[in-house]
This record gives sequence, C-alpha cells and structure tokens, in this order.
Amino acid sequence: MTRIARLLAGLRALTGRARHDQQLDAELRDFLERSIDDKVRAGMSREAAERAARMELGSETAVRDAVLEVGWEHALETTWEDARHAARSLRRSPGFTTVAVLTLALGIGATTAIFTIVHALMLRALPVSHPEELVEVLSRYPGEPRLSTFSWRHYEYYRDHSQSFSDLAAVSRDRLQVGGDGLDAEIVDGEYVSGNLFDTLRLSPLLGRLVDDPGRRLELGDRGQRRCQLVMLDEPLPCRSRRGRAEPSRQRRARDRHRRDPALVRGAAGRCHACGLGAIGARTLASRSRADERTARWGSACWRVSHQA
Amino acid sequence: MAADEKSSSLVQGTLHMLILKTLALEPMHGYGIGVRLEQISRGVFRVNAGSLIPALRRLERDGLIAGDWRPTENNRRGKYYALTPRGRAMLKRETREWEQQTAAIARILAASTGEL
Repeated sequence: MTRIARLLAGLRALTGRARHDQQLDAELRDFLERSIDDKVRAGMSREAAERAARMELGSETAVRDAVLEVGWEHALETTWEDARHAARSLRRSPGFTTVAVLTLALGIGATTAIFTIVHALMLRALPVSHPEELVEVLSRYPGEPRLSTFSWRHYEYYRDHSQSFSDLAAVSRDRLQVGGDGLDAEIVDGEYVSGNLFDTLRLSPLLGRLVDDPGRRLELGDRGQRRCQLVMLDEPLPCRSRRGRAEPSRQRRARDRHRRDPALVRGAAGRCHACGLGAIGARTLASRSRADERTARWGSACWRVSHQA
Repeated sequence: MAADEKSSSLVQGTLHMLILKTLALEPMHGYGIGVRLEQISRGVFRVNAGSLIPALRRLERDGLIAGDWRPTENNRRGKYYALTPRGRAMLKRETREWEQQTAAIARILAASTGEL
C-alpha cells in the first residue's frame, strides 16, 4: 500500500512539477513568516526577527533539495538532466564524441566477440541429450603430441571392446560436394560419421530417417567413387543458384526431394555440433571406401559414458 | 548552528514518530509542529525546517499524514497536516515498540552486578 502511494505521489510530482514547486515555496514562506511573527511577538524588531528566522531556516535551496530527494522521481529527473547535459556537451565537441563513440564501439565489439567464443566453447552445452555424458577421446604416444585421430580399425576395436562407455561414434571432417536435381553442386564443410553417431548423440531427424541399423556398412557408388549413399543435411545448409544466391524455391525443391527420397535425411533436432567441431553443412554416413577406412585418420571419437561404468 | 546541534540530538528515526504524535493531538502547520515539539520537550528538541519539511513530505507520501491548504489568520495560505487512519495505526505500533525498547535499555542501564 505504501509503495503504491509512493509511486502515485511520484507520478503526480512528475506531471505537476511546477505546482509542487509553488506549493513548496509557499510552505517555506509560511514557515518563515510564522517564525518572524513569533519573534516579533517575543519583542524583537522586525529586522532582527527576519534575520534570526532566516538563520534558523538556513539555506532555502538546501531545504528544497532535501524535500525533492524524498521522492523516487528525483533520481529519474536528475538522470534525465545528466543525460541532457551530456548530450549538449557531446554536441559541442564532435572530436571528443567521435573518439568516445569509436572507443566504446571497439570495446563493446571486442568484448562481444570474446564472449561469443567463450560462450560457444565453454558455456553453451551441446544441443544433445545429456551432453555431460559425452567425452572426446584423445591418444598420445610417448614423445609425441596429443592427437585426436584414430584409424577406423582402432575405432572398431574400441567400440567393440569398451566396457566403460555405452556408445562410441567416430567423426571425420572433410569437404563434400552436395548437389541434386535443379541444384548446383556445391562444396560444403562436412563430416564422415559412423552410423551410430545419431544414436550416440540421441538426435532425431526433422525429416526423413536415420540409419536403421547403425552398425551396417553402406555400399559405395559406381566406379568406386566416394559417392554418398546417405546424406544428412544440416538445416542451415543453403541451396544456391548458379549466381551464388540462396533461392527459397530451390530450397523448397530440395526439401521436397528429401521428403520423397527416404535415403536422404534432412536436419537433426537442433544444429549438431559433434564433438565440439562446430556447425557442419552435411554429413555422410560411413561411406568411405575400404581402402580409405584402412588408411584414413578419423577426426574424433565421441564417447557416451555408460551409466553402468 | 545551535538549532542543528539540538535537532541532531534526536534519537535517529524518532522524528517521524514525534511528528505523528504531535499531529495526533491536533492538525497543525509545519512551523507549529516544530514549536509544539520544542514546547513539549521543554526546549530539548528544536527541529529546523531542513529536517521538518522533508520529514512531513515523506510522511505525506506514505499516506500517514494528509496536507490541506487553508487560509491563515493573516490572510495567507498555510498547509495544515492531519493524521490519517494509517498514520494513527503506525503511531500506535511505533509507540509500543519504542516503549519496549526504552524499557529494555532502562533495565540494562539499571543493571548491577548483583542482579546478574
């Protein structure tokens, strides 16, 4: 109740500042004149009484300020006055204003950039189920730098013999060519991933399906080309025309094709940042050749800690 | 200066209670409240305008007193304050708390080693 009364009184003071000032002046004048009258009645001369009364009252400005400070609106008014004063000062000295604005812009920009990196790397949780259970496996031989790559055979061995982890998925970054009917071929950042990646991360597709059997190998295309049998496209992957512009109609066509063709999977629940590698344009599922599998170094191994471990 | 020294000798936080008590006797203007406080305290408390008028404004904002402009005996306009029902309830509560505190302080000051 008191808060509401204060709020309403402050609003009234803000809207009727002139009337409030007049009333305060009148009250101070009445206070002073009553004091003078009292002193005159007590036997003082009019002049002496006025002098004594003014001395007792003190500085009228100080009293006025003390009264104004009672209300919350005073802080608002002084802030507004300070802002106006600052604006006038900045307008008078454009050089200083320019330097100040640039300094602030650079400072804010740098801080924002650093925070964005810190947020992406350290603060934001992976957009998957139970991200705290995920770990990245690194290997290190004596005298060698730490590595985050494994051969496919090692990956299979670890996956099949591990007892402390419920799943082990493999990820390898690459540049992939993505194209299709009515779409220009485009090189995008991508990943080769093991078929169980989505189960490991517990992701579900927005359209299409994921691999039925996460353990199965997919056959290669004609002439041993590294053609993808299954592709998962991240939602933000644009479909560009020959002029390089993103075209909504082409994106729609691509999406329709994904709907018709169950072998194409589009998007996962949220952008997938597997093993902290960042947003990837496309993923192919275990479609490297056997020769590749023997020699290729897989980028990362992503483990989910078993609850039984 | 002397007035300042005397008003500062008021126990902190008691000015509002004393104003409420003065207005409980009868509605009064700001100067009259100051004079009445000095009279009742037999000159011990003299409250200057710099303390009194902001305190009145604060009590008025909190809805504990209500101000009313009236013509005075010298054909001027003066603001007379009166206690509101909320102010009366507040005075009752603060008086009770004050009595409890002063009684406790008095007991502490009167304590001797033999009583402990």
